Amino acid sequence: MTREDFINNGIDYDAAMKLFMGKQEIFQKFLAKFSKDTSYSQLKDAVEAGDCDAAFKAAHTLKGVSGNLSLADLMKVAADVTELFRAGDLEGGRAQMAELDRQYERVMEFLGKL
Amino acid sequence: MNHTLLIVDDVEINRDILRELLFDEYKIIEASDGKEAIDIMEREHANIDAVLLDVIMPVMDGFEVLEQMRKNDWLNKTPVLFITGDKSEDVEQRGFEMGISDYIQKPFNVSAIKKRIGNIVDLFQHRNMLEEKVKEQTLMLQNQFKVLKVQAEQLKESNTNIIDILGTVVEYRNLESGQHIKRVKGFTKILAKQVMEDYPEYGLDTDMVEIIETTSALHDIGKICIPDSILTKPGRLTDEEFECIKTHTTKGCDLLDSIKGIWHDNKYCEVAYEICRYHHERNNGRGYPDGLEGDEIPIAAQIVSVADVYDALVCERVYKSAVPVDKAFNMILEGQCGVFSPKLMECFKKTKDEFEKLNSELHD
Repeated sequence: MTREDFINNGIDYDAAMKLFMGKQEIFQKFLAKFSKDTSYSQLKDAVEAGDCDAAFKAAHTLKGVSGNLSLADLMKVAADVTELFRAGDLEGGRAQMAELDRQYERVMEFLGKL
Repeated sequence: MNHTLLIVDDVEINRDILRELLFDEYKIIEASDGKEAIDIMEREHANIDAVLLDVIMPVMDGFEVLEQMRKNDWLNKTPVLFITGDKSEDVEQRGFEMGISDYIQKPFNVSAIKKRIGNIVDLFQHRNMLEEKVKEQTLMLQNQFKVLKVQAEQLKESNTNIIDILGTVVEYRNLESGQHIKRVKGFTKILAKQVMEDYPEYGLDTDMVEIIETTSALHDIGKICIPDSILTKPGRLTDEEFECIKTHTTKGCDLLDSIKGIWHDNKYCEVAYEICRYHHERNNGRGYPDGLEGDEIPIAAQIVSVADVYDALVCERVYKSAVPVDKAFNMILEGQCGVFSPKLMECFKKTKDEFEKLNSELHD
């Protein structure tokens, strides 16, 4: 995988290299763990159940994790929905979920190729 | 040896990343929620050099962890850095108010994280070391103070012993029983304590009472300079002989002047001088050597003079037999042995029983 491959899939490669001290293999090791992270599925469940507070917490976690892994595009939507759920705007957050799903699938598809 | 970090975050990936970034410089302990973090700190907070604490966590969040740490008094020794994801200043502000030392932000920035943790750990190491040192030195000072206090007590005691020896030497030459000094000291103490309680205008305190009691042993030290033939003469003295006896007051003072250097406390020197010189002065100015009146006579000398006269009355001397205590009491109150100040006589009346109790205890 090249720098461009990462960037084309919404990942801030340069930020990741800075964090992982230029070691792509370590970055990929952590990316692999992302598929096991449960914050996305928790967020889906919470939205399904209409639990705004749980949705906020899950979205907040997803934001943090995607941010730490330099998943820039995913983090941006996660940040948006986090703020909506934080403000108690369940419907507003729900409306953004399609975009979040799209970004999540995009990342997962890319991770499958690693 | 590496310092130890406790990383508290409910998200495994976040803990893993921090471990990856920090494991080569720190020993890492992890906790996946606040409750677990508190359990770990209860066991080994003394070994944890800093805590990286996520804010939003299930079971117990970062703020509750901080509150627990504050209650357990761990925050003074163990610094906490918040891991914050929001760019909201509220969380950091509230964190600082509750005692965090710094914070690190998600997404992580490796060099900033390392620098901040390093700074805080160093600062607290240094602070804890200084505190330890201060504690050690305080303890040392306290111990030294204790030693000094004991030594001061010993010095005071040996001082008192030497004064007693000086007084007793004179007394033996006087062919008296050796108990006169002890009794005068006892009567002096009783009377001085009463004066301290009833007449604050004399400014006596417990220290001063003790000084008066101790130095009263020297009231007759000048008698060492009086020839045996006069001092131990049975029967009445001639006028000339009596004039000679009277000089024991001023000669005592000369003697004290010549040994001024031995006192560890100038107050003793002063009071001993007053007692020596003025313990034969009387309230109406008819005493000797200076004919002082009333409170011109130092209070220490006034007190000792009553004690001395009382003891002279109730004891047998070469030239007289003992007077019964009731009669001695009345003779003093009636001014038959010289006039004393009314205030002192009030104290004497109040302490009559104490005088008599001590007298019977010390009579051999």
